Amino acid sequence: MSNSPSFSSSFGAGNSGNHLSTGMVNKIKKPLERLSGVEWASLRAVNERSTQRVFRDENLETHSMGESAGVMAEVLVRGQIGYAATTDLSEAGLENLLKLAKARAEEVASRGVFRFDSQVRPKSVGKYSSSVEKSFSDISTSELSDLMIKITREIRQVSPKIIRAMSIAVTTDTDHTYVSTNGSQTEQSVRLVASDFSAIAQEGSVIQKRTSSGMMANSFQGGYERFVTADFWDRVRLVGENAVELLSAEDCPTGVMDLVLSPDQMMLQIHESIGHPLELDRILGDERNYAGSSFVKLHDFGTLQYGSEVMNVSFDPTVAGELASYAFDDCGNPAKKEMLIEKGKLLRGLGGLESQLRSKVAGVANQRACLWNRPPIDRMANLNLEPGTSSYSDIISSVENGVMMSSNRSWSIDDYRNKFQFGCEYAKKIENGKITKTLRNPNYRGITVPFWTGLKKVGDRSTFKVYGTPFCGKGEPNQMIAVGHASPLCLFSNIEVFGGVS
Amino acid sequence: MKSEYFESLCQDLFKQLNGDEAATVSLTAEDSEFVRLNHAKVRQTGLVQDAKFAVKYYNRQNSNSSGHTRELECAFSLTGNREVDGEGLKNRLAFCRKEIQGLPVQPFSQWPVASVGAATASSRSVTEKKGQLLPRGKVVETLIKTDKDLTGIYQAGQQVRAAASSAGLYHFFSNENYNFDFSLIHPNERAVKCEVAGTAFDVSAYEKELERAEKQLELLAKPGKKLAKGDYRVFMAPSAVAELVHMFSWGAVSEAAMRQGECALRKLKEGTESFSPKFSLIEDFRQVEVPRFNSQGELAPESLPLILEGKLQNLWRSARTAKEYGVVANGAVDGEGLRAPVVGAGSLSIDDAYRDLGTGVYLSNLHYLNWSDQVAARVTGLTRYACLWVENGVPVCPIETMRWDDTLFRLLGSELLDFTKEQSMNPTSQSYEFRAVGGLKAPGALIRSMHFTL
Repeated sequence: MSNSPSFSSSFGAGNSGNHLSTGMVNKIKKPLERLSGVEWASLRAVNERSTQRVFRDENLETHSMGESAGVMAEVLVRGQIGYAATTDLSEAGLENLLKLAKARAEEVASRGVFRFDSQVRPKSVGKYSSSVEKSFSDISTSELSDLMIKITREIRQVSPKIIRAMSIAVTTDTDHTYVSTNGSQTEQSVRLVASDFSAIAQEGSVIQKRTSSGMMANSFQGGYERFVTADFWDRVRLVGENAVELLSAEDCPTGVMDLVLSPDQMMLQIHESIGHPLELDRILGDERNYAGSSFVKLHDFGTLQYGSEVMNVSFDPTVAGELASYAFDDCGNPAKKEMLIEKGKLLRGLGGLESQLRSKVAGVANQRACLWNRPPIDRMANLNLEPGTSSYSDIISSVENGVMMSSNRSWSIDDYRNKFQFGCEYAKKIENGKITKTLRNPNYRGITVPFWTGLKKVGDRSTFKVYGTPFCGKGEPNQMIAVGHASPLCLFSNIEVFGGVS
Repeated sequence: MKSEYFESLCQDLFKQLNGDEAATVSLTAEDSEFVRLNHAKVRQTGLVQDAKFAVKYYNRQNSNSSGHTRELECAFSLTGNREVDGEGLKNRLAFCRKEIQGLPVQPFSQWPVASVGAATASSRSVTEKKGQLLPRGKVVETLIKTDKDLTGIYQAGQQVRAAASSAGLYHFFSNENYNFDFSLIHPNERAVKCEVAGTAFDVSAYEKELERAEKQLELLAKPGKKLAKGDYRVFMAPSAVAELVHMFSWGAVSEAAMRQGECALRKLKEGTESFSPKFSLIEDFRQVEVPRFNSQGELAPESLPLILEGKLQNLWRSARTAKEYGVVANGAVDGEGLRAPVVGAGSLSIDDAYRDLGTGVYLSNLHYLNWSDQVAARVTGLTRYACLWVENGVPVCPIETMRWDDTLFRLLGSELLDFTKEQSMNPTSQSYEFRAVGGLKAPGALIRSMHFTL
């Protein structure tokens, strides 16, 4: 058998077609077939090819491409799973890898947190591919470079007060192949595109930055069509116009008032104050030395009133184009939509099969690894606030005194996910049901459950937008993973808002 | 991964280049053991062998002028099989040559040259150190030595950082080390943060750290004090100072950030804000073991003062930044963040921390820091772990978690009373993509007033 990394053949412009091949399945199947003395074992091969293009002020800053290819073995012995991962894809390398993983499991012996069996790695067979209308590989490098330069030019042309314009495009093509001793065979081909453009404007000592919906918030599954959208050039110009507008805007007032959050800030609000606290591994204590724990306890599922009655939150890995859609998690668990919170009541946790067994709480298919070199843990995938019934004008007209904030720029929350403080790039004052003026340096703070209890109105589907972030970090060893969030416009009552110093 | 292997791949690449081409190469590799614990039991354990070979390819076709340079970065995983990796490298070079045709000229590209960075720097260094790590298979029984709830991560093994250029720079750094970053957690959920790290696992030092933590845990058994929001006198332990100073990596000590508007030290440079003369921040590669070379093989000076007695001395400048703004490069890494940071010592004694604090809050650790107004250097974050309420020099009880929001110019400026004369090394335990190297050396700090907001 050849020692060559058979799946690293095509290394192109990114966002290319399906790289999965039966070659990889057969390659990793063989060493598994020869393995003995284990309760269960798997090999998970991942090939990730990424491109990053960064342009600033009409010049190319960096153009980088990367390919990471490797395999993780998981072996179950006497109720413990050991793992081992390598870039050595030779037959001998894979056989050795399984031996190493087996030895890891044996070392744990009776010292594991739980005695697992193969039900935490069910048999799964199937395929998944992101839907791509137009691949980035169909666009020439020079065409794409010209486009990226044009973005920065358009932003700079808005005003001489703009001192920096940037455009960033990132593609990530990942092919997962998973085979196990109990007959699993899944192949998933995921295509991500993330983009960002930004303007920094300056007048005297005042400096303001504006992006399109927050740093890398335009992150989706798909192809070029998710990058250059119908409203693309409007968004580019708006970034420049808003940055300049903020220079002469008033600072956000300080006080307790109504707060309207745009979907591009709701994304962060959902992520930090619903997603992380509902992760079952946090509640079970795995993360207490790093990311933290949760104010949510296991007995809260089915009883805790998390927020107001208009709050409905889903785990939905089936939304086309949303960043973390997939058919199976990295333990072979088939993914489907589940409601986590209904009418404000907490029903279900963000925990995969291992956490479900440990906690006896209902969970979802979310045990995921960021790459071949990290073990799967409980992650968010697509975590969405379901649309409500209020129109945009219903929401604005119901506010007597408040602020509407958009696009996250600052985020911080405590290790139990209670006390948060978030800042946004851009805000509007709302007075007597009407939007009146632009505000800069908007911030707000609160405590999770009282905050969600103050959720007064949830926008309808016309206000619903999908975003995502490639930067969700947790785990020991650390893992950065992509998650999607979608939300309508929302109104919260009695929130502490404040401004900046600059 | 050994130096010979890396060097032979580099030579393989460099000899394929023609006169209009150049390349710099970097290697990040590790052979790591991870043991994750929860409740003093094993949650997950595994081994990871990974190697990333990154080529920066330069081409100045059609001209001999470096003003017409194009560049492109291309990284891939090394398998450890020389034939496969050599072939992979050849394919990537072919790809780079094709891809670069579609890229615009980069006016600020710095063509690799033989001597870049510190004037006294050598163009070649090879450091390959062996450690005395716990044998694989013995880790779990060695670590689990307490009936307390111990939760955390043990990571150990070889770490490699290397860089070379077609102009002749070659640097290779390999070390075997371990880091055990853990919390000892009371049944009431309060916790003490601990860390032991180094190149030789010292069982008695570990047991001493456990003992210290178990003792501290006793104080955390008391009910927590709920503080009202407002201003408090605080003592920050070295680990809390380290958390605060890490913020300087996020667009504060970067020349590019300063030029492009986002720099948190802008007001310091303009003279409208100031730090205390007691605050110094120096990059010191003699005190923090981390490679001095960057991914292009350029060397930083052994010591680079960033802030000296409150005054801005230097910012990190990459070769690209230097070329764009007409300044001199100092061997910065991409992103121009902190490398080997050391916060200068003061005159207080860490043993007198409670006494010097008098009545106020002892901050053992801070959590989840972020700019709340970057241009104003305003930072928000939380208290975490063994933060205590102290009255008349006596620790009374733990505090409930508090949010704070304050500027660096107050905390390290107008409100800074003094630092301790003792400095502690805070080794990094981060492992996004690869295990990180280095750490931050900091003293404790006595601060007159800090804004607690929630």
